[in-house]
Amino acid sequence: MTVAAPTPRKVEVLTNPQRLRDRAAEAPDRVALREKFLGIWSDFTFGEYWEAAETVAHALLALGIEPGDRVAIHSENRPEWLFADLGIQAVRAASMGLYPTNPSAEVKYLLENSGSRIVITEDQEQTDKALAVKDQLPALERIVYIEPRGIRDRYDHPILMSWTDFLAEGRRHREQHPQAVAEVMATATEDDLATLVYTSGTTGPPKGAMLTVKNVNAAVAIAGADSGFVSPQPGPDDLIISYLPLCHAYERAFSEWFGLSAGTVVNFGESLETIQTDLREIQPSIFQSVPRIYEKMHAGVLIRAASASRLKKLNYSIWIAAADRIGRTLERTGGVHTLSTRVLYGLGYLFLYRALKERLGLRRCRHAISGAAPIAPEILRFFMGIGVPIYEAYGMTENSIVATTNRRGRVKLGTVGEAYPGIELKIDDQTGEILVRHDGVFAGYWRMEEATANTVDEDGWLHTGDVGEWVDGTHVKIVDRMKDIIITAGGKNISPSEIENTLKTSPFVGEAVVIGDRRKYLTALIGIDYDVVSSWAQSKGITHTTYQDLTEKPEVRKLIERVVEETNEKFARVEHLRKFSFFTKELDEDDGELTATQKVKRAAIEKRFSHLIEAMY
Amino acid sequence: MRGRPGLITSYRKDISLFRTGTQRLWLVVLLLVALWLPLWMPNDWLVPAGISLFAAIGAIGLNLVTGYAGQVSLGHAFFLGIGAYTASALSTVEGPGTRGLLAYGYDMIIWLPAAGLVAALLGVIVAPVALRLKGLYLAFVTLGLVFLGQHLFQSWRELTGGAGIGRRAAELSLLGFRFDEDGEVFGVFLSDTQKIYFLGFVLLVVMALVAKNLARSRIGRAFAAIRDRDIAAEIMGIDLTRYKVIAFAISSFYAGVAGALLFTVTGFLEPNAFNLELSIFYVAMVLIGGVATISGSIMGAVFVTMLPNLIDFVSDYLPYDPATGPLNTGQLEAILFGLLIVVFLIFEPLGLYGLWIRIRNYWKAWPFSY
Amino acid sequence: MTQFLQATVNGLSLAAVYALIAIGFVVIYKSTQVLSFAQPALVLTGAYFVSYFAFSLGWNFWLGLGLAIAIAVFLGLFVERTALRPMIGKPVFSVAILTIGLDIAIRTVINDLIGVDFRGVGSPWLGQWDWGGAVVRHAQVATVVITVVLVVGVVAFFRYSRLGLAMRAAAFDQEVALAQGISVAVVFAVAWGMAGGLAAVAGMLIGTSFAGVSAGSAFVALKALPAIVVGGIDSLPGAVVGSLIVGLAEAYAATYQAGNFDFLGANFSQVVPWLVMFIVLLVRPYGLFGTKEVERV
Repeated sequence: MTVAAPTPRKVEVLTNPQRLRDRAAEAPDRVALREKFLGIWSDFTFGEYWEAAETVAHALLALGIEPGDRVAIHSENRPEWLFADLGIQAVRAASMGLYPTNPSAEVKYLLENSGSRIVITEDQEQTDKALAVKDQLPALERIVYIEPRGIRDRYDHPILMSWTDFLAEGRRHREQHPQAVAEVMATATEDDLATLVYTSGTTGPPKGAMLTVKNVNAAVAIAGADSGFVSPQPGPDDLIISYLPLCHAYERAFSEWFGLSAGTVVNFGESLETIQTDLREIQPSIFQSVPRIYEKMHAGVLIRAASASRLKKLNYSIWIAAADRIGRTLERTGGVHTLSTRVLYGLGYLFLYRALKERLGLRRCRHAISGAAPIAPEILRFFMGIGVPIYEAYGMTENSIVATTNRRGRVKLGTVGEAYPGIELKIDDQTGEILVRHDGVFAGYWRMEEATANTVDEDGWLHTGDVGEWVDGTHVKIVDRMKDIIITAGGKNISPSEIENTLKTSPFVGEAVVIGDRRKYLTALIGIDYDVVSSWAQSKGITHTTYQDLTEKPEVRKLIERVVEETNEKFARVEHLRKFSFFTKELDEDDGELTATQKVKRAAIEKRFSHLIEAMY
Repeated sequence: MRGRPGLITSYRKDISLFRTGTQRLWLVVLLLVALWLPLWMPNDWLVPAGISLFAAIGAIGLNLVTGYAGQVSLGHAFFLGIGAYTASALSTVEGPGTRGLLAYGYDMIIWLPAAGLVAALLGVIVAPVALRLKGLYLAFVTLGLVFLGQHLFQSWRELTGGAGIGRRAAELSLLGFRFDEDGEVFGVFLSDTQKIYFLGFVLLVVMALVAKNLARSRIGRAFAAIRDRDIAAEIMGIDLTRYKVIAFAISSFYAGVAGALLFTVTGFLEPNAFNLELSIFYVAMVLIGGVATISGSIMGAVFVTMLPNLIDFVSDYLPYDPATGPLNTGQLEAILFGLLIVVFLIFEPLGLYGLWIRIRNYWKAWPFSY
Repeated sequence: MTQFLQATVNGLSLAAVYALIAIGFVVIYKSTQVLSFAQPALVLTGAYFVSYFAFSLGWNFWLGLGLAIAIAVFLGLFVERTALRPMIGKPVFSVAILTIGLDIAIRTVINDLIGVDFRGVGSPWLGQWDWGGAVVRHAQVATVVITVVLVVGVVAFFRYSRLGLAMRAAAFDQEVALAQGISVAVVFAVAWGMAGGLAAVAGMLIGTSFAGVSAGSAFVALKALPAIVVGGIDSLPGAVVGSLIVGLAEAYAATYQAGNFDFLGANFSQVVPWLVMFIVLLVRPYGLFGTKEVERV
């Protein structure tokens, strides 16, 4: 173990398990988590939360886990995820999350690379993946499965252990050594590795970013500050919904770190597919999300408004026009209401916004965040207009997801806002790359010294790989990923994501990839949003069967041509798209075209669809 | 969590009677309006209104067995009759006017529950037939029950007074307090019809609440399971015999209570009243109101019972005058009644309740259509 | 013995009336899966119009009967097209209740036309024979003969005609029938038309067998219900046998109960059909000839 310093600095450090323990001692009966199970949102109090996490910790001790060891978790979001993670941290081991969608080969790579001694699997599916590769993993000692269905009484393998037996083991250990976990927790240091977060590399194999207790605490401090991550800062009256993958730092920060530090209630829906229903039921007060979700919501509103009855349609068009005006005013003022927008909003609230927000599940949302990818200003304006303040923020795993955010009353659309207090941020003069330095900057990539050295320099500056520029000297605007920047044959630098996002503001466009590096002009590969275009086609009486069939309809081509023309109008001549082709299929993670966080893998796509690309030149 | 109606944290909350504060508020408003009506309503509206409250109790009973448990019964008139005669016999005081009729002279506190219990007992006796029969065949048997019952009522003179003669209905005297006489209550002067209305109101509220609670209890859920698929219900471990007997017993109890009270308003009982038509009236209440809903049963009962008044009221504004035209009010009512059943079944199988649901969904789906 | 013979004769003619109505029920049920409680209304309609044409207007009896049948057929078709076609695929019981609604509406109108008195039907069978002390009215013989002829006709229709075969196919499986090119709409219409015609004849026969047509004639029609249940609601032979059982039982009860079983009350014979139905159903839940419903889980 290289990270834990040999002589622990004796400073007052607070770890996540300690926060949980304190909350449980202070208010054991307050609701901490909710899980939708068989149609009911059942509660877990802080007392139960801590009890479960502590039992896991005892069980890990019983199984011989020591500080610095790694334990993997392969599961969808559910309370057991957090119990396991906190139990792991309590014994000063590091957790490592796998995406539920990871196939067996990747499971093997991640378990092998991290050297995990135990993997906690959700169900038969994930257990099978681990079992299939366990012979190649000498370090793997145990597979603990949470759902026994399909495993109990059918699988007979010494490496398997059920969650119930695992907890029973923990209880036995607690009886024999009641103070064991407390003793280990007391020795925790700032430099303990809290978690390994593998970044889904759009190029190359995934790298495990090491986040230490210090990194976590840096993020927690920012979330707890008044003008920090969420403003005003989150508290016990806030509800959030946990639905993005927990193995990603973004969701983990909200569901676990901020949940414990602020005492917000974390709600686990049934799955990512049921997010709409879950949102409507929970009506979270803080909503952390990614552009794709907002785009989907926006497209959903447009479709349903179009198919509403006459009166409802009229009502919608009147007030959505008003929302647009409100949005534009707010854009000018940075999010501060003027008297006229307030009056207009009040009226619109009665007729449309209240019901619309209720339907979206954002009626009680006081602070929504968009991160992980750039979002189109049109979408932000729409949500601002109907009274859902979305603040675009910027951060990445490597800096514990905290770098910059737009603040209440100081919003600039198209930017990712201002750096948090205590964060040093500069833009490299030559390359335009954004560099940050603060306590949240990670400790390096797990067992990848070279990659670490390329990312964090000697002075502690994190090279984000994003090209940015200053707006009005305060706000940062992200131009693009450095490696995605297109340099045309004419030598012009172009940011493809800006064009792509403008294309994606149309509800008909689901995915867009702009091509043109070292080429004479720009083209695009476009994926239609099947649901939207399909219902549009139905209303126009165009019969179709599959996705591909739909893309081959001349009417659909014409529809997208119009979208492309509208996009071109907003850009300079060199940035105009001359041609476009449709993807012949819907992009899919399993086919290696999307990352687990649903970002397109450019290199893979350019290779896979090279015939389409070459046809355009 | 306040203001988050979708956030249901327990099954108890999921099946609670009134989920939101808004619902409770509207219920209170509705109850207040119902209490305020008799204070100004003219008597020719108040009398049928009072009857409709009693009828609603009977309709709830039929809805429990037919709507909730899916056991189609056309025999409701029989149980209404049993209740009516039990109450009458227990209530009547022996005297020169009784002409050899059964007369025991008990108070309402005795005869009202007794009427329900005797009817429930007969329901239990009939229920085993429902175990062997399904659907239409069960409907036939209960239909036959009406004819047999009618024959029984006509033949058993000591109980009923015989066809064409009849006897007085039970006396509305609760522990000496007379509902059927004008008088002061807590310093307020109330007419007999007003008192009867209030009696019906209180009884209906109590019985409706009991029924609504029953419908969400284990028993109610078992009923729904049997209705939706009896074989599946049996496989899930629901004892069909037990729950079918319970369904008939409870339904008959409601019918018995309703029957005991229904005729106290007019004060007179005649065996021929308990005919097939009466059964159909109740089936219509359930259908027009809404199958498997308590509030629907009440709406249906009020609507069907008040139909003659409504027709009278409407005919004032129509060019057609029943007084001079070929069809009189009664016939017009019968035709309209028949057609209403047809129209509701074709266009709104969920009845008045379904209409209400539709209106509600229109606003619920706002600002979209779905 | 005479008493028994008399009861048998009465029972047979009663059974004949029930049988005609019952066959109407069964034809509709088999071909459309609808249990029509509107049959009494059709019977009453037929009876009234026979009476109107042949008695009130004094036209030729057979002409009157023909016109009345035509009206009842038309009414059957009209009811099917307007009220029952939209209910295809709805639960059997809902449709049954709907026919009760129709029955009430139609019957109210006809009752208004009939008025309060009994009306003659102007039938030509007014005499009677004396068979060994038993009185046999011509009308009773006519009832039996007409019923036998019609029943044979209906059976032959189903067995030999193309349309009859189509109707049997539709009764067996509507979708398959559709796939074979059978117009289910035509099948439905024919079933209702046929039931209407049979009901009209039955109505006329009720008028001749009982002292005339009145609002109460509908109740005679209602007693055909136990008859079909005894036989099994989807069986033509069942309808005939059921009618015989019920008709004879009613007649014997009428003859023998008075004096012997007075405690059963006056007019006990009127509820005998229902009692017979109870007993049969307790022993055989699907009637004597009914098809046992096979439930797939």
